[in-house]
Amino acid sequence: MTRNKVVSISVFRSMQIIKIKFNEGGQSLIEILIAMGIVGFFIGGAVLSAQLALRLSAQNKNLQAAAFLAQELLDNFTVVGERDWHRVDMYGGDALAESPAQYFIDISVTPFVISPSSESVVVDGITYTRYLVFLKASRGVGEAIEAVYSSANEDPGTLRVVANVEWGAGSKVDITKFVTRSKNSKNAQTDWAGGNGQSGVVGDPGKYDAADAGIDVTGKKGAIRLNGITY
Amino acid sequence: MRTEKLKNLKNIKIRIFCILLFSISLVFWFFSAVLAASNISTTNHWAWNDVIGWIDFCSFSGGVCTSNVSVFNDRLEGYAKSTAVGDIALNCNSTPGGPTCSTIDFKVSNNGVGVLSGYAWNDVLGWISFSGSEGGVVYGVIIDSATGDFSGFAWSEIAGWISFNCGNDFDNIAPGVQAKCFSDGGIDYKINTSWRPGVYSSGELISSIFDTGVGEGAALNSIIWQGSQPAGTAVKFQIASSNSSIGPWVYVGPDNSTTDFYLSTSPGISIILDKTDHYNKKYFRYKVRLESNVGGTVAPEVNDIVVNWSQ
Repeated sequence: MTRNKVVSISVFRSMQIIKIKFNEGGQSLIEILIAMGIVGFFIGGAVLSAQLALRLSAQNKNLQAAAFLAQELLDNFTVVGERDWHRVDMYGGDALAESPAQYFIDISVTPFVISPSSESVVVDGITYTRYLVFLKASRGVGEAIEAVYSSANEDPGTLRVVANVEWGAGSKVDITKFVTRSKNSKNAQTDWAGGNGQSGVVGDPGKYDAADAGIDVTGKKGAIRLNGITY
Repeated sequence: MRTEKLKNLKNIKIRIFCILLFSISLVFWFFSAVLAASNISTTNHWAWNDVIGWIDFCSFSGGVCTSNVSVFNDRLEGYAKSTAVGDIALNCNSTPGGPTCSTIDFKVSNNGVGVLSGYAWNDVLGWISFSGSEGGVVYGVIIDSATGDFSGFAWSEIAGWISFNCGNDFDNIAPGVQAKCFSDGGIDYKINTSWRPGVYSSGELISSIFDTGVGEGAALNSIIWQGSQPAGTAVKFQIASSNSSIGPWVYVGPDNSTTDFYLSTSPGISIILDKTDHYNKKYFRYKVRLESNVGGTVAPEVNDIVVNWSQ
C-alpha cells in the first residue's frame, strides 16, 4: 500500500532553486503526531518524576539535618548531665505542664550550660529552631522506667528529655531520650571494732556512733553480731 | 406455706453464715496459734498450784508450743493456760483479748539476768505476784542463767503458792505445795526456756556520719550488706540524711516512716532506697538492726555495709 510517488518542492537557497525529492511511500502525518505525543508523554513523566525526586531528596536532606541537630542537642545535654547533674536539677522536669519550658545547650561557654529558650541553626540556607523539653520520669517494678509517668514512683535522678527541631512551615523532628544521674560513688564500712562514740563525721572508719546492749562488735573483728548468740 | 419456705430459707442462710464464720475463726485461730512465737521448752512447760492444778506455759501440740509465752530480756509475754481458771496473762501487751496496756498496764518483768518480778492476771484468781514477801516469806521466780530452768514460787491471794519447779524447797514456803520431784515421791515438772541472760533477740547500731563530699548533695541509691543470714533471722536498715553535719537525723524506712525498715532477703542483695527521701543530701548515716530467730538460737552476722549514691 506504500505509494512510491516522487514529489518535488522548490526552495530558495542562495538564490538557487533546489529540488528536493521525497519518497511518497513515508509516514503519514497522523502517525508522526501520535509518535510525537507518546514521546512527549514519556518525557513529561520523566520530568515530573525528576522534579518529585528532587523535592523528596531536598526534604530528606532537611529531615536528616534536623535529626542530626536533635541528636547533637541530646548529646550536648548528656555532656552537661554527666558532668554535673545539679545543673540539670535546676530545671527539674514538668510532666504535667501542657507547654513545658524550652531550653537549649549553650556550647559557646565552657563548660556547656543549659539556657532557657531555643536556638536557631542555619544549615544549607535552611533555618532550624531547636530546643529541649524536660519531663519527669518514674520507675516501677524492677527499677524499669515506666512508659507513663507515675508521681508515686518518681525518680528525680532520671529525666525524659525530648529534643525538638523545627523548620519551614510546620516541619518538625523530635527525639526522646531517658537520661539518668549515673555518676555513682559509695561509702562502705567493713569494721566496727573501734567502738562507739564517734557521733560526728567519720574520722575513724572502724568506729560508729552508738549501739544498744544487743550489739557485739568485738566478738569477731569486722563483724556486727548479736550478744549472747553462739555463732 | 410460702412464709414457712421463706423462713426455712432464712434459717439455712443463717446456718451457712454461722458455719462460714466458725470456719474462718478456726482458720484464724489455727494460724495465730501456729505462728505464735514462744521460747518455752516443749518438754518442760508446767507449773503447779494446789488449788487449780497444772498451769501450761506451752500448750504443746504438733511438735511446737502453740501458746505465745516468751521470755525476753526485760519481760515475759503471752499467756499460760489452766484448765481450772483459764488463761493467765503475763503481759498486758499480749492478753487473750489483745493488748490492754492503755487500760491497765501490767507485766511480769525480767531484770535481764533471769530474776522475775511484777504481776500476771487471771480473771478468776486476780493478780499473781512473781516476787515479794508473804507472811514473812520472801518469794520469787528466777530463771537459771545456765540451764534456762524456772524455779521458785509465785503468789496468788486466792490460789496461794504457784510452784515453777518440782525441786523447789517447799518446806520454806508452805506445806502442801506440790514441790517434790519424782525422786522424792512427787512428780517431775518444771518450766524451761531457751532464753539465756545476755542472749539478745535484737540489737541496733547507729553509724557515724558519712560525708558524700558533694556540696549540692548526693542522691542515695541503695544499700547492700555482706555477711550471713540464717533462716528466720533478719537484717534491717533505716537511713537518715541531711545537708548539715549536725542533722537533724531522722531514721526512716521505705515509707519515709520512723517505724518501718528496709529489709533484705539475703546478704549481697541491693536494697533500693526511696528515691525522693534522700535526694541531694550531703550527709547520711544508717541504723542497722539485727534480729535473731524466735528461739534465739541463731542470728545474722554483718561484715560489710555499703551505701551507693550518685553525685
